[in-house]
Amino acid sequence: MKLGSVLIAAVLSATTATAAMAESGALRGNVRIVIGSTSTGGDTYQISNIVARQLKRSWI
Amino acid sequence: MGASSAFRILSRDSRGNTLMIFHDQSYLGNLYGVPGYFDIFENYRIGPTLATNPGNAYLVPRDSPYQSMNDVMQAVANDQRVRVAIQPGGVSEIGFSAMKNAVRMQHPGKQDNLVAINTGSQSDKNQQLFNDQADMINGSVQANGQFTHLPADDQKAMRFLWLTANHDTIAQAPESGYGKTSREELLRHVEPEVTVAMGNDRNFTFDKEFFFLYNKGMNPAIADEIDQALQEIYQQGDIQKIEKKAFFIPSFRPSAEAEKHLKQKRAEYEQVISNIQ
Repeated sequence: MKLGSVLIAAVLSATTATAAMAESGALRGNVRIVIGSTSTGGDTYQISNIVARQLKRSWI
Repeated sequence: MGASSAFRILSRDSRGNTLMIFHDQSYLGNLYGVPGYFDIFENYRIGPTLATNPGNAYLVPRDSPYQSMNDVMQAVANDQRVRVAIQPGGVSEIGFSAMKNAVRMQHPGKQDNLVAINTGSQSDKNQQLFNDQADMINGSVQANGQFTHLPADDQKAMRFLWLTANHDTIAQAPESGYGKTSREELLRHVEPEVTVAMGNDRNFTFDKEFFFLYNKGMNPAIADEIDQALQEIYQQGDIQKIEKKAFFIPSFRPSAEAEKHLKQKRAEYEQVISNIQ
């Protein structure tokens, strides 16, 4: 599970962005976004980070 | 393999607190039979599409005899071997499969002259070209653009031969393009300037698109909430600027539309892959 933990770590920084959200809707609590890549330098991480930040702003 | 771990993690959480963002590799991996990839439409719920990375490309050395994709096709038809370095099993391979499919249609029996050199990372693919082990490589505008601006006598100098993205996708890129490669130049490498046939009157294109994947058992109300939140975000308009600044082309579609769109893409590429098997 070494790859798995790298993956989650990669994703956590994008995910902290979406942390405290949605207290009134169907989705409650923290959200993490996992990505299909182990790289934090790649395009999947980059777009996930952009989207996570925007969602965080709209949900708070 | 990063993707299979992410799919497993997503499968374990049906509360909606774990979401996944990935791209066309998610179904291409399954079409190519890569272990750890399953049918995403059966095993997950498809969320909205978010953006396209328009950079998927095929390149040749600067001093290659091939000036165009037509030259490559002609060479293959004339029984010359053309070796293409790819990372097998997905996004890096689909354009190669499309070329092979075009050869099958236009020059039946000559497919075997187009040879895949299976490697891994981008630097591995580049190295195959530098070492003259490959005649063409899969790469990207972002990773390989710099090599296309090297002096012609530099051993590492390359040229773009083909970008797989749709013309309309590249047309939405910033005018300045990426790095030293302007949008105008990028547009010279996409259809209809460069064509790879897919059917009788159709050309193959491939846009690498990012989208959400959800646990199959997630409350549908959460999918609706995310659709609505993103709808508002894309209507507001900042995200498009941020995406374009990072050389992504915005392509928001709410879940239902996204699923239909991606299923259609998968059906097309499934055809291409099965044609050449």
